[in-house]
Amino acid sequence: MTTLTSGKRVDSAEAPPRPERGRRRRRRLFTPGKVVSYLFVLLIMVMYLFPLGFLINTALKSTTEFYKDPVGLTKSFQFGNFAQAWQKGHFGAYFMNSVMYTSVAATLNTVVSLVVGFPVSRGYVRHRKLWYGIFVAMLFLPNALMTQFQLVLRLNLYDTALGYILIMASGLGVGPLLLVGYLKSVPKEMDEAAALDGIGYWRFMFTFLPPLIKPVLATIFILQAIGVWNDIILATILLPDPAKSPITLGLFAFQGTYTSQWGLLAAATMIVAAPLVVAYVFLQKFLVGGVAGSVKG
Amino acid sequence: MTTSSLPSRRVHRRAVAAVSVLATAALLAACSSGSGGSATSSGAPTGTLKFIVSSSDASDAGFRAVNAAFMKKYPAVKIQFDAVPNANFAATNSSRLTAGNVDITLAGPKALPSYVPATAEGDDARAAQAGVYVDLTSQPMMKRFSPSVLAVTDFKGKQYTVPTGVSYYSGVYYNKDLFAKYGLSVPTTWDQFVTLSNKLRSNGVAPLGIGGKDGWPAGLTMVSAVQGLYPSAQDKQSLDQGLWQKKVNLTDALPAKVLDRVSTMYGFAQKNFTGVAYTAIPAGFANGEFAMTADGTWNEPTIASAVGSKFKFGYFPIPTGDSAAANATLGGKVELTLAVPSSAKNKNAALAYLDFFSQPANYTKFVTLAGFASSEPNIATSDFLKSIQSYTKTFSPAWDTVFVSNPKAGNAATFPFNYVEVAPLGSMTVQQAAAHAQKDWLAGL
Amino acid sequence: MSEFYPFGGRAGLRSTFSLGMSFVLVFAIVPAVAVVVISFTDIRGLPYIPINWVGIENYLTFFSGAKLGYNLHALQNTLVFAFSVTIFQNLIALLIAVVLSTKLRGRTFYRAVVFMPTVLGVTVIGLIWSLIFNPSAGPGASIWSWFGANSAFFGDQHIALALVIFVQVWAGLGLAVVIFLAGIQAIPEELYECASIDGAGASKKLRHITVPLLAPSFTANVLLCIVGSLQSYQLAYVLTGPNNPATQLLSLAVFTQAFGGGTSSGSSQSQGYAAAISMVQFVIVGIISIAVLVYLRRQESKT
Repeated sequence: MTTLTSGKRVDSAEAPPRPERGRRRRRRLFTPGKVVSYLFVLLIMVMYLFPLGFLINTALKSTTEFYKDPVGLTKSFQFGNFAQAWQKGHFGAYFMNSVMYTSVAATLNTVVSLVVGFPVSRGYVRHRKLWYGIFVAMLFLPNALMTQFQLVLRLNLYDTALGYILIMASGLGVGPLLLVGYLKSVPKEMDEAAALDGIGYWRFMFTFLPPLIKPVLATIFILQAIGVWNDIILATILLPDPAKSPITLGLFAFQGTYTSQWGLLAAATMIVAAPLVVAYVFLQKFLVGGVAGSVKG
Repeated sequence: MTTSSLPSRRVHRRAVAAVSVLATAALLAACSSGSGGSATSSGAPTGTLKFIVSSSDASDAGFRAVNAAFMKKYPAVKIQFDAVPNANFAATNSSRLTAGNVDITLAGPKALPSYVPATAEGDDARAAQAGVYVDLTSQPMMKRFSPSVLAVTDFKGKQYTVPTGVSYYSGVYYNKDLFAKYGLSVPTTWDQFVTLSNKLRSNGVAPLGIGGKDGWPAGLTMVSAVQGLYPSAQDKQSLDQGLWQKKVNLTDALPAKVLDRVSTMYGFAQKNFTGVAYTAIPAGFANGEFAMTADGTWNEPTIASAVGSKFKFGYFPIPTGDSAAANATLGGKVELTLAVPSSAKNKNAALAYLDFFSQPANYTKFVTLAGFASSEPNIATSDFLKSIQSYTKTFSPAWDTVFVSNPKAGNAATFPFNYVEVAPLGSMTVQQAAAHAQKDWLAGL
Repeated sequence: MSEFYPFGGRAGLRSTFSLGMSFVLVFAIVPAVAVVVISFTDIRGLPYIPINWVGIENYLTFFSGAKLGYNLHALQNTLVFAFSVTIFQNLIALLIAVVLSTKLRGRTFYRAVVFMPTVLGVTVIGLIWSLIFNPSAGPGASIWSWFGANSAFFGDQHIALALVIFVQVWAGLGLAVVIFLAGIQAIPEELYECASIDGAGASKKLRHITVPLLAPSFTANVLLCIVGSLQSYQLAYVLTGPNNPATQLLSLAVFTQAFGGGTSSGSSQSQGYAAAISMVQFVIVGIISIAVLVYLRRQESKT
């Protein structure tokens, strides 16, 4: 390895007759390839950072100022918008609801995926192909809004956080499939070795296995968390009590009531988005790494 | 051990599956048995009263005022009032009704005319027949309402709902100052309306403001068009019957004229009205972005608060008919009709509330805040409503309350005038839209 | 036939597996099967209304002359939406991932920024873009006016769907980029170095190393994306509401039919019919997924 790379450097120092276009390993910063790359990245950054910046800018304007000059930089820094939005919007409560639903449902979902995926991938249950087929079929289940509503109702779980969480956790999606795929890289000998050491099935599955398959568990968790975090329709149907609304519904209802007051709306959106962005800054290594790790594995 | 346990697991799974299916079937069957309720109020109300309506700033304020007064009078009652955004209301209503989780809600059962098959019956009507709502006919509070209004909300000789007011919506709010500036007066014929709008446009003012993004506000132009071209209730009834009996085509001269009027009004609307939300209209009107706006009288409090003291505004029916006589009335509907579900857990409090609501003192409070016209006689009205009294002397039901929609028909025939597909809301010309609606209408008959 | 089970007693296995599967069965599979059942009835949204078996009437209504045009339009929108989102999202994500895998300064930051919308949630994203594409005044309107045009954006029949696709791609790029980036970083450096020595430029490396080795995860990603976007409607719901014909999607139609209805005309919730739509969508998703899977597998085996 080192010889190759050092050999490379020697090469470049001698200016080989090959064309230089797009050579990634060059130390020079301004090859055409690099310039194009940076420009492209700049474009992407604008596309992603501008909306946030615009949101902040609008949140600091009064509604009249917005109508007069929607695009320009704010002249009056209306921090009052935030106070008003917070007061009217009860976002603190909605936020906690969403966090609770997401974490519990995603955890439950991951556990269930593990519990059903592990035996199937190892073949510890009969009719392995049947179960695997069911996992695949679960990706394509028809939209069951009405019947899930009826089910929750009959179980007396209507308008309860528990009912909502159970429904959100049951959409297994790709979880078991990802798990089965990943488990191929964990040799069966591990199971047998642990068994020989006197470790039972439960202990193995819940304490020994998870550290070995952290990336895929993290991915399943994250994918499911994203799904629950973004849900608005099931919350509309299953959680009529506004006190139980997740943030998606809370913000949507707020928008419904204050549609044309953009300053207020933007402030409300910022109130919801800001903690997410902050949390994200701290968690992104974990989040992104989790997804990346499972792909690698 | 392994082989003997597995068949039992398979059996176990099958049993679970079978039980689930049976349970589902049994529950579906149980769903279909009804329990009607007769109304008895006994003793002072207590407990929680769950109350849902579809949200609108003005009426929400009205209800909240009455709620506060009610809770003051009966401290043992706690009212859980949910003003649900319009978009979510039907879903919320359905799920809460099914769960028995609501004591007062909105309902609008309408009896079918004889020429309409039973399949077109609306859900509320079916529900009323199945006893989902409490029969309020014999309740003493119903006597407080005007007989003419009760005649409209009557369902097969019974009263299931309390009418909270009346609204009119075949007209426009207009900016009196702008009208004065350009020397315009209230038009009474279509030609006058067109001339007036053209004059406004040539002076750089958008004549008409429509909140097209939400869809239905554009439909108000359609309702006005029908109001002017089929002025009396009888005209509209005949049109409905003619459509159902295939005697009238949507492509005939007069029905097509409705869409023609709609198209012209779209032409007078502000730029990109199809992307403007309904709730942005009051602010636009207040800012003078357009001189008139097609809206209902229910929105008057919101518009008044947006306009403030900037200018004076009024309301007149859009003169879509050719003669002044045809344009003399405003089409209206009975607003927010409240019903008590039979599955309500606190019927006592619900009935006590409705009784309290209809008492003249409380009702006046409500109607003033909500901006509705009164459904009870001898209630003091606002100046605004007094100003349109000449148009509302006799109640003229608006087209969308007369027309019976056919669920089997294609989507273009929902109203059935196909205002949705007329450009720029849609992409068709008037003739194409009318033809499409006719095709979809016939397909359902 | 089960394989050798080393853990001795099966109680642990049986209890957790059956508990897990029962949970899934009751909350996910039974409702899905029940959808088939109720699609043969005329069940409505309000309770206590008599329910009758109507056989395949709901399906006939779906394909009837009256409704077919509208339903085909919704189907067309769904397909256009799903395929556009999948294609654009994956291609652009691949491009970004390739660029970010080079030694650019601050690429961790770029990666983090692109992934951020995933965290924000659909309502926040919907609000931000509704604000930007406000037809009366805003950045969208300003940019359009540079070209001398103005538009109703989400209210404009012709571009509403395109805008929703744009926002969906914007929102979903992050996850795809991260997945592809991980995949690229899993490709051993030596391959690239050998290629350099052999005189390969960047584009040749891309074509002969990156793309073929990335193919399996690309396939998986594309398939999941298609299945997901054929059934996705949360963003369309937030941006344009459930009743906008220009952005009518099949899943949204299920919601509208099952839980919709105007307040003035009373509820009109034909849940039996909604279930039929749901089943038709299910069949279509199934067919398309299998077709795409077969096609992609074939492509994979070619390279």
